[in-house]
Amino acid sequence: MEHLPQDPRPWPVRRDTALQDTVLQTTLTHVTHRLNNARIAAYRHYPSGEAARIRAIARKREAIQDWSVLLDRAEEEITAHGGHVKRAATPEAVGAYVLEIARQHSVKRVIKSKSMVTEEVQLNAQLEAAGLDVRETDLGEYIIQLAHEKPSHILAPAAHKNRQQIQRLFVDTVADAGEEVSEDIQELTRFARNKLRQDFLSADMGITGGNFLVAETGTVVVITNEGNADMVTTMPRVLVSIIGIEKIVQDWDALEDIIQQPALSGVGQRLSSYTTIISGPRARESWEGPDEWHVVLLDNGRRKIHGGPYQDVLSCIRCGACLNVCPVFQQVGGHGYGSVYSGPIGTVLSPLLGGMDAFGELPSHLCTMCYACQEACPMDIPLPHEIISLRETAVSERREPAAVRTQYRLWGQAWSTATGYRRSVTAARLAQRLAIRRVGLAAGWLHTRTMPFVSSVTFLEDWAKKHRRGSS
Amino acid sequence: MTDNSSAFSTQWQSLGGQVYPVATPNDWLTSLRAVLSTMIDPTSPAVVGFDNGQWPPGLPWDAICEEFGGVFYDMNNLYGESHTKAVRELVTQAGVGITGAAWAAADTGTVALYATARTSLSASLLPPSHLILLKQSQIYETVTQGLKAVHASGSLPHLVKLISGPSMTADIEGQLVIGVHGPGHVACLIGDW
Ligand code: SF4
Repeated sequence: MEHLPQDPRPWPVRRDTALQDTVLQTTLTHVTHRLNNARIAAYRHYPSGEAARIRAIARKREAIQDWSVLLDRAEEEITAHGGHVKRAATPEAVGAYVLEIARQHSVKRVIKSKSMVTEEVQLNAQLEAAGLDVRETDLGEYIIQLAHEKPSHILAPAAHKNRQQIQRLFVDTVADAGEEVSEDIQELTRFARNKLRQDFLSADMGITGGNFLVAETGTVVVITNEGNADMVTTMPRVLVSIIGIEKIVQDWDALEDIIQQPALSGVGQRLSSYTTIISGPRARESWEGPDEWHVVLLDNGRRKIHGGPYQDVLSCIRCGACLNVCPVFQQVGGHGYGSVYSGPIGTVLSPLLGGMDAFGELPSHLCTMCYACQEACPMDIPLPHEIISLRETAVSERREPAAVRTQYRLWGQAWSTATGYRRSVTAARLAQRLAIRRVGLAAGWLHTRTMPFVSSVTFLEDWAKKHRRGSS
Repeated sequence: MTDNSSAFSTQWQSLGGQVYPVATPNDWLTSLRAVLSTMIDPTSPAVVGFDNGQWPPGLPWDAICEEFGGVFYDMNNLYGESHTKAVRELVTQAGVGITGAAWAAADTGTVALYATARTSLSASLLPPSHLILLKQSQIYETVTQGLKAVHASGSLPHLVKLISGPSMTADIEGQLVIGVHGPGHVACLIGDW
């Protein structure tokens, strides 16, 4: 299994599909603008949230730097509270461990709250292949699970579907025979609530991701707005929390500063509606919570990033702010990236985790260098800088097609001298007279743009002519 | 109301929750009747309460619930071997869950619940309505102070839940819908006792 699943469709196909999808275009614009405005307003009216953010950046960088010690500490603490810890290096290792626990507990039905990491390791496919019944419980994830699709936004996975499509999907997949399903959004939500409620009550195992792992006490923090992670952590008898090792923070002081940032930056709330804080399995006298709690700490390429030039990317809290401001993401949405991780963060993270062979085109083709993500990122991750660096790697590894490399080389040579530049203008005039406007580097651009005509006289030529006339 | 209580109320309401202030200890009955009249649905009449030993004493829960077509169950009175199962079945069907809180925070409009022998997280999760009884002295100015209290309590509760407003989603076309998995109707009764 690959480290990071990849959409086999090439970029031009993914791009054109997204640009022609009118539902995606409307919803995406609406969702990204709403979240973006909410983020800006939330910080503006909450100076202490902004102060906490500044402290959180420094503490999170330190936590990443010292993660070995902190991960050991977290493991000790979780074990001391009666939990179990598994370090998993690969997607297969996660799947094998979860299946083993499921076998020990005769688990048949699994419920999940939203987790990017489980998308990364394709956990659903692994569990379903072994015969388990897996149900996503976040409304957006539920919709795309039924449709066998991938998330199109970290926070709004079904942002590419409208109410009519969702109504038809429910009728085709989960509605009982003859059951009416309305197109009203409120009603669609109620319908999903009722269906999922049955799954919550009958599940034997719950699986969550984790937003933070606090080393000091071995505590896992999970944030949702729907309350589904609360269901997942409270109802089933076995709970598995699957967490990327970069989610580590040192202590509760650090947690206090960072805990509000995903909601502030992601949806513009001071805290999400539900924050679940898990520090162990059910205490003997308590009657709620899992009998057994397992924490899987996933590497899957993260250790390779540590200590290198891209280490800062490990501070990401997956808030989605960089997606919402990105002009490329706003046009093509998550599916355009062909990776679980989309937007600017996905452009950097996907090639780092999944390799340049699979994802090397993302930094080269899906960034306009506008620096909006740099401004929006609450953790101050230098995303544009990292994208440029990845481009340099792509060029030095000669990943662009030979024809493109040659054209850029010739262009570079031509424009590096004044004579070369002038000659190129003359050549362009000639070319347009011969109507060869649709070849070479410019061809793709002209599918969606009109190229202005090259003037028959340049400014300098015009100046020289007038100057001569004036002086004569 | 104290400064923290009124700041909490403003924030909690802006998130879509309701607040019923109880001006003096004598007003409990009036406020309770006011809120329960909006919450009890006679088609799912069960009202489950988890008195953690810190509720205002001497309130006629049975009578008030009955007045609006509900039936009150005090979870602490359900004993026996299948206690957990009985509680779970009841909470699953209930229309209203009533709990106390470990603390609340004004700046974020947050209420914290701990899973202990005498408190319930499910009662705040499964029924469509959740009523929280909050003492003014339990309200901190900031969520940071509340989190410090969780951590400083010596033994960390195995499960802590912070609730900041009703359950909500914007997963379909970005339109906000209240009450997805958890309750859509959340109200705090705030007073002194
Ligand atoms: S890179 Fe920054 S803005 Fe983007 S998801 Fe991560 S923390 Fe949020």
